[in-house]
Amino acid sequence: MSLREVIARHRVVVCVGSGGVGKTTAAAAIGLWGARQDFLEAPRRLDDFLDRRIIRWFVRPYLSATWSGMRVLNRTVNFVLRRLEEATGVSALLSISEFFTAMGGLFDGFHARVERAYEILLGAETAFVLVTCPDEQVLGEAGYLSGKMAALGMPLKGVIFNRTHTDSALDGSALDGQTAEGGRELLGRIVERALGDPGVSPSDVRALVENCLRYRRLGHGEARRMAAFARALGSVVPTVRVPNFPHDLHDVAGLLETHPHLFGEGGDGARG
Amino acid sequence: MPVTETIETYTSLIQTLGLPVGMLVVNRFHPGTADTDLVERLRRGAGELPGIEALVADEVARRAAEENGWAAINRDQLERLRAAVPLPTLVLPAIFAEEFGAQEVARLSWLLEVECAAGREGRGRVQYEEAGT
Repeated sequence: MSLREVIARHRVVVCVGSGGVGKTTAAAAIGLWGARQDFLEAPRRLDDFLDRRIIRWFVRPYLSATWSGMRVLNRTVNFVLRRLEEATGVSALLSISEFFTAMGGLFDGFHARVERAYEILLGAETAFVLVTCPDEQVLGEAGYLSGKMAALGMPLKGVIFNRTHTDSALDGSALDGQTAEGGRELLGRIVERALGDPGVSPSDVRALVENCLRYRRLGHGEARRMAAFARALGSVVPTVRVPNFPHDLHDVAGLLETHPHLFGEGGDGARG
Repeated sequence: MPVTETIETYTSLIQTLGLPVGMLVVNRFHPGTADTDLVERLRRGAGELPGIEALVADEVARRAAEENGWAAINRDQLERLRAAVPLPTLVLPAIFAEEFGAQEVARLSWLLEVECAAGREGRGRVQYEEAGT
């Protein structure tokens, strides 16, 4: 099953390791793709959500009077807590009491709701999609997270490797058979030919070549780590690689750039 | 470089907790590579080369554009940080290694020492160059 199918058929939970892996971008890109697939039930779901008892409480103007009434009932408790605060110097007790009093309705049947939440999270209709990047440390944390999820029976259905540098045209080229110095010279000659006349300074050519080789080195390490990570997950979990774009993806056009990498050839355009 | 989170953390440390924060270390800074016009010229020239050479030259141009793109992003982020976090700021470069091991840690450690010494002597930031180890 591809990531496209996983996301189309499930309720998606995006989970991530440490910061900087692009979780917001990935979640936004998935959301945008979903919106463009005519998932028309979204408004009805929102309506259902707003019609729930707890939400209606929030929007009813007379509710504040009810909460005031509840506070009066708790006057004795608050009196005790105030004395405790004075004795211990801990000033949060009363606030905590007020918070629970005010939010009392939310905690009614809390346990049942937690059970229901677990049921949903563990259900066949839910897919966890892990977003990570190919740095050693981040990937190590992602491995730990996926292990914990497996232990909890949570269904990891896809992995997005974000900010990768493995989209190289040089792998498998004549460069592979070269020594480091030979590779540098070969690249330098090709760069000089591409730049043509007027000629450029050797330092500019060197800067371009060294920069390319640095990214290639980075990409080799990433490719090795991602392959090992995917092997550990097993072949049933689809993995996709999104390259490290050289600009911020902060608008719809930017997010659309990720779709071919996330959802295959042509991105969402493939569905017309 | 999570700039917003760094600024929020700095504000919390100073204002809420009253801690004496002494220095800001900005890690993985991309310094950029060749001039943008030259990179564009390379990209155009790549299309005129035969076969694999075109792919190779295009990749060199693409990686240079990537580095310059991140350099521009990092410069903006550093500017925001400097405006919001008035501390001595030490900038460490992005390290390009297949595996981040002892050699890379030693290199960052050396850069930290050099930068701190330069700051103490009032010489400002030293220039660094990615050695490509």
